Amino acid sequence: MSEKVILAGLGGQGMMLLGRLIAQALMIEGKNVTFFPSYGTEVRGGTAYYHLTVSEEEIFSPVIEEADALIMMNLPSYMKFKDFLKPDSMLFLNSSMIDKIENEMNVDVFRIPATKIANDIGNVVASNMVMLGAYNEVKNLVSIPLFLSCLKNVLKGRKEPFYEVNKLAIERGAEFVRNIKC
Amino acid sequence: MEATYKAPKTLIDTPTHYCPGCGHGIVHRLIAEIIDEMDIRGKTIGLAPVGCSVLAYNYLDIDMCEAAHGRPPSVATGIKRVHPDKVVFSYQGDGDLAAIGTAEIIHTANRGENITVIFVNNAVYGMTNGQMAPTTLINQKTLTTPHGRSEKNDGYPLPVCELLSVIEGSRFIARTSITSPKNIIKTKQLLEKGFKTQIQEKGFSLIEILSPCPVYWRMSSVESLKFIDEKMVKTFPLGIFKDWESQN
Amino acid sequence: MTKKLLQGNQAIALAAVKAGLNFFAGYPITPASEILHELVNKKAVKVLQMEDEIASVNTIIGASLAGAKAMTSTSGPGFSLMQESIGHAHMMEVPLVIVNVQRVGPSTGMPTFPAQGDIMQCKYGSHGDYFPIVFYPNSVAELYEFTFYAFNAAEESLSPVILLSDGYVGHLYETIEEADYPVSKRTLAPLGTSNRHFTGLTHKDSMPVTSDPEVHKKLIKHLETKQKKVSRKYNNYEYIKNRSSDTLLITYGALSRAAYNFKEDFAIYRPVRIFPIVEKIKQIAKKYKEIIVMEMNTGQYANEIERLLHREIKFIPILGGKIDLNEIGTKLRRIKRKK
Repeated sequence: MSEKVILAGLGGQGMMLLGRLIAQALMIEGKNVTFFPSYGTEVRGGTAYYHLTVSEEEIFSPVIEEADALIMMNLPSYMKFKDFLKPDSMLFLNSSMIDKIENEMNVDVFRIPATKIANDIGNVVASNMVMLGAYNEVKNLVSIPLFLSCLKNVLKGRKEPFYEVNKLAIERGAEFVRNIKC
Repeated sequence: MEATYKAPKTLIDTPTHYCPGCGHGIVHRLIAEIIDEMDIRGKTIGLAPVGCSVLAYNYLDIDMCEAAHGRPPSVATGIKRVHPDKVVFSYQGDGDLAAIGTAEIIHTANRGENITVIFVNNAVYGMTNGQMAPTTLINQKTLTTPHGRSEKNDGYPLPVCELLSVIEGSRFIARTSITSPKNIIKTKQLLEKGFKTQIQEKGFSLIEILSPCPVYWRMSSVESLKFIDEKMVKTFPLGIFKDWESQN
Repeated sequence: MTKKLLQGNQAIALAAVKAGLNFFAGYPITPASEILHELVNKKAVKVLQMEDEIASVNTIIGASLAGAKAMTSTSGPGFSLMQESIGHAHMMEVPLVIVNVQRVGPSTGMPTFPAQGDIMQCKYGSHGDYFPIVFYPNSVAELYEFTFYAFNAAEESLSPVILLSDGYVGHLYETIEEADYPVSKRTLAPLGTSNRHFTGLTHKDSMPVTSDPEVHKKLIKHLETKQKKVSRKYNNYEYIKNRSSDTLLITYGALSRAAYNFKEDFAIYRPVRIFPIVEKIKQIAKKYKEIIVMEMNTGQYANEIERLLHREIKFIPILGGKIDLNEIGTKLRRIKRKK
């Protein structure tokens, strides 16, 4: 198996954590992973994007030319990366922030109101985890308990109180996609 | 007959390379005497600058290291942080300390680095043929200020002690001269105080010594001492600018 | 052995601590800052944030002479500031590790984008003759491993060793095996033990001799011999044969990761110890009609290779901090067609 994903959002939307969690979990599953963050000179407010590659084989260049999936948190991110899609790609959009798009490639699109869901469960910052739950549910990459144990590792000490809401966000994201699938 | 006066053990018996009338020899000797008297020769590490006194290790029989131009305070910082029990001093001229190394000395003082800095100010660049120094006096003629330093073109003499004394991290800051036996004795006392400041872990100390450079001042040795006493001290007043002992 | 998902910069910090680092001084700079950020949390390391890179390198010179294993990290602009003191450290024979996570220059350039523009600066950045050992790994796991070698080579050669990285590998997350490599011990007696002198002036028996050309020649010969001898222990390179190709593609660091995609079409040679140049390249090059050097600068290593091999080589510059397989593929095809 091999999976190339581009994750993008506003700096501060938690794409870094999202990507690292996926990479971490798949590393534990014995896969080769590379996770390549890229950002402009501005750390906050600019578009932050990440190339995540997972493979059974050795990974050469961690830079992605064609993505198997895009996880896009806002419209500027989508505009920047839509050309990385190929016909069999999957597109995961935070529909709370991306209203309408022209699906030029006619790819499978999953519209997840991540910001709204996160807001409803009490922490808007957890929108990244909603996307994680949704993405994983569709792709069926890792078991939820494995994600949760990775999450627990990341949210140690001062950040521990945020574990529950993030856990809930992952579950809600998965649930949302399950419902549209049915 | 009992010897009443001996050369300090720390001072190496070797011909000097300093010019006639230069003040470095006197300062070297004072340091050597203090190291002997405090019995710290085995644990003292000196930093030599770039400038006339780059060869200080030719005269002082202690561990010494030359630093790049202006950087003795940084090298001293590294040494002192690894060996807080050693006595670490830097020996710097006015070009090394007050021009190229201004950032280093200010930040080293600001960190309250527990080292002693011996700053020899002769208001001119001696090693490189007598160009203007940051401490060159207004109207003083040098190779690069042939009509005298003008404040309009070259700015003002940099008051290092005054600057450093307002920095929270500095503990003992003093300016002295070596123009007379009385002043030399005073200088020795201040240098001792500098080393004591460090040994008692009080923090950063700097002693500025106004020192003659007869060759590049184009003066006789006697005239150059007079120049310090009459002219230089007006721009660079002698005294103690900061003292941890009188602060509490 | 534990597996860890680490960023290149974090891997350097982790390996440095395991290799015995106990003193670090540095100044924040993109894309190298994470090394400083990691180290401030390590109990075994005394960390000082300095006012600039000049103070940083000089402080670790002091710390190293005092007996500590010392390191600093920076990027191109800071590395430029350090050059005078790097020469000074070669002259005084001070073991140091200097990490340079390269970004696009000259000047402020593109701070978050990778480049390989400091190759010449590593070798010739300071004045005078010196013979630096420079490693340039191309993955997080290799950065981890070569951090150990950099510390060991520094101790063995008593010289500042440069560990090159770039904004690409520096920020990249990959898996490493948290292995322990053998660590070389300090052989140099520290300052403060034996009336030792260190000087940047030409010297003999640690005392300055500044007007005898023979003393200087001997000193430079000593430095050169010593560096060559130590570097022989680290003949690290990667060679991917290709019997069906008459062309050898030489590439290194971040860019070589992309070059692997073309190993069906070319033989690939990747130096890891980039200086002194591993002599093996002379033998390998003989087997190929054509040699292409591809690097993220306008020909810095290509010139060195050409000089070493005494033959014409082709050169592909990849500029602007973007590693794009399409661009690389097009350029490689074009250069092949031309011959």
